Amino acid sequence: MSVVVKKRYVAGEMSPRARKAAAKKRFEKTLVTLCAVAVLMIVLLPLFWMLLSSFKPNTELFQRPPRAMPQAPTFEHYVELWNFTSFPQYFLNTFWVAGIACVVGVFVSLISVYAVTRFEFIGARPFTFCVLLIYMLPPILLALPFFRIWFNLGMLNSLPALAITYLTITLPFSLWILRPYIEAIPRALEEAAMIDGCTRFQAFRKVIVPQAWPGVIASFVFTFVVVWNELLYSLVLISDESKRTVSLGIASLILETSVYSWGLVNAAGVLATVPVLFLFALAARHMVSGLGAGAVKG
Amino acid sequence: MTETPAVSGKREMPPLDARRKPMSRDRKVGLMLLTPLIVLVVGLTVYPIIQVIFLAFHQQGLFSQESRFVGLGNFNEVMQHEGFTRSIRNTFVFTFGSLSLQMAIGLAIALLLNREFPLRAPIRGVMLFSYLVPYVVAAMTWRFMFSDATGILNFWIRETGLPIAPSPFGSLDWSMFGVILVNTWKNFPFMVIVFLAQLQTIDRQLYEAASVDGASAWQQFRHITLPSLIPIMLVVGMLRTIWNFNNFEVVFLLTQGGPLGRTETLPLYIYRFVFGEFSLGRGAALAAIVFLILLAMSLIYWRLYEKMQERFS
Repeated sequence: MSVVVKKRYVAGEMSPRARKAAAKKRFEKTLVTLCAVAVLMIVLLPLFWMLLSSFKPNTELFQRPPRAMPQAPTFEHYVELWNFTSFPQYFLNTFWVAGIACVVGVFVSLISVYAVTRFEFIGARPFTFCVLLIYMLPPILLALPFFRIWFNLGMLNSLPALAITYLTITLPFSLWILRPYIEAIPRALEEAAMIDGCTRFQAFRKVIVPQAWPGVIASFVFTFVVVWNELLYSLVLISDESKRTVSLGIASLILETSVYSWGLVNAAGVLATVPVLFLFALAARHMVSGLGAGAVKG
Repeated sequence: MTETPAVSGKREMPPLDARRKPMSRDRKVGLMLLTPLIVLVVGLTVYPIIQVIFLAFHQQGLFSQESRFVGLGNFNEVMQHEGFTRSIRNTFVFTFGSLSLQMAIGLAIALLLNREFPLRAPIRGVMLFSYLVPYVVAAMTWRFMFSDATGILNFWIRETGLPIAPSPFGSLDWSMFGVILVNTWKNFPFMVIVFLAQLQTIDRQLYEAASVDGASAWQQFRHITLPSLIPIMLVVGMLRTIWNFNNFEVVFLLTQGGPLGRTETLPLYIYRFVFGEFSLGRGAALAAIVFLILLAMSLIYWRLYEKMQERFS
């Protein structure tokens, strides 16, 4: 292209053509950025609206036309939520249940993936493949027998039972995320450790776990978010008011009360979103790459 | 998240000579490490599935101990129920309506975000927010925005006279649109992330070569971008089909299947059977039917995937 340009330009000076191209490129970049921001707004506006509304006093919530910014911002909905509802209890319940389900799920996945990739058992790979399929089962299909099982054991309405049920989510999910991380660890690494006198257990603890640590974090964060957001199992298994999870608590606020106190519900929604986004921010890099790594392989 | 395990499972099998002969004491350790997974899977999946199959052939109340074998009676009963065909139709409309919107929007946005522009990384991260928030939060904020007394969208629709019901979730004609809208908003970032990851694997030099040869932007998209996206589109298409099909939360929280069953999808239908009419047997029969439909659809996707692999590689 530049062959046809006769005049020579010194460094720093641009030909009219190059300047035009640069301007066009800059224009395109601005356009793309604007589009991206517009797209972002589709995602963010409903959430911003929730955040803003949670600070509006009731009079402003019913104001017509609605104003975007709260005129007299207030924490009254948060105070009400904290003092006059069982939401603090719901948060504790959910942290507890999700924590147990995720720690157990990730730990079992870690040792299982290790066993499958390091010892060639006949049928082990098809077996882990089947475990992944659990995630494809309709949750309602599993919810029915689980209701029956816990009913027969007299453990309906029990948080430990709920945590065990959540293993059906956390196990396949963390297996899925962890597998590529552990498969990527060269065997020579742990063999070297074992030659240097480590037992297999030590090699596992000192080589495998640190090497797979980003995967461990990613699968923990991911499964925690999924369990935190889960509704169906808790809806089916928990009927006791004090044993609700956060999702179930908000769901009952939405469904049971005919005249919502929208301020309260919005505040609850904000608080339910905070841990999820916090965890995401903490592990964003691992999570996105984990998502991507799993995605492009097939 | 979206890996098709069967494919990679097949591929990742090392060639026979590469497999090492493990030591026998080691094998014991390995087996021991696998035991928890086996126990959990048997207890938490195999046994429940056997139980569902058992229940599907028995008359069984939700809270009663006795059960009676009825053969295919439950299946007969649910298939003749007036709501059955309606909920199947609703499920397909919901599943594929959401899927096509999620795909189209996801693809467009992935192509947009694949370009170079300032603030690309943070925008990509924030893009995921609607995918990450709990379903209850998504449902709550959309219900709030469309609610009659307080909703901002409700207000705008009334003001501008748009031909949309101001509160779609209670409207006979717009409730399905409403639930599809929220489901799409909630889940399209998943598509964006997957497509972006795939777009990044395409060699930039292909585009340069094509533009030197005078290919238009459309031609480049048609002959370079699209072929490399189609396999992953089928994979996420299958996953999202299954997940939309199984989705309980969106519809339950927004409309509870109403008004007049217009948005009642199969998972809600099952839920109503079991926890509204206390018939565990019929619910199990329905769940088995859902499972068979999903299996059939997965097989179709699978065949398509294999065909595409042959065509493009």
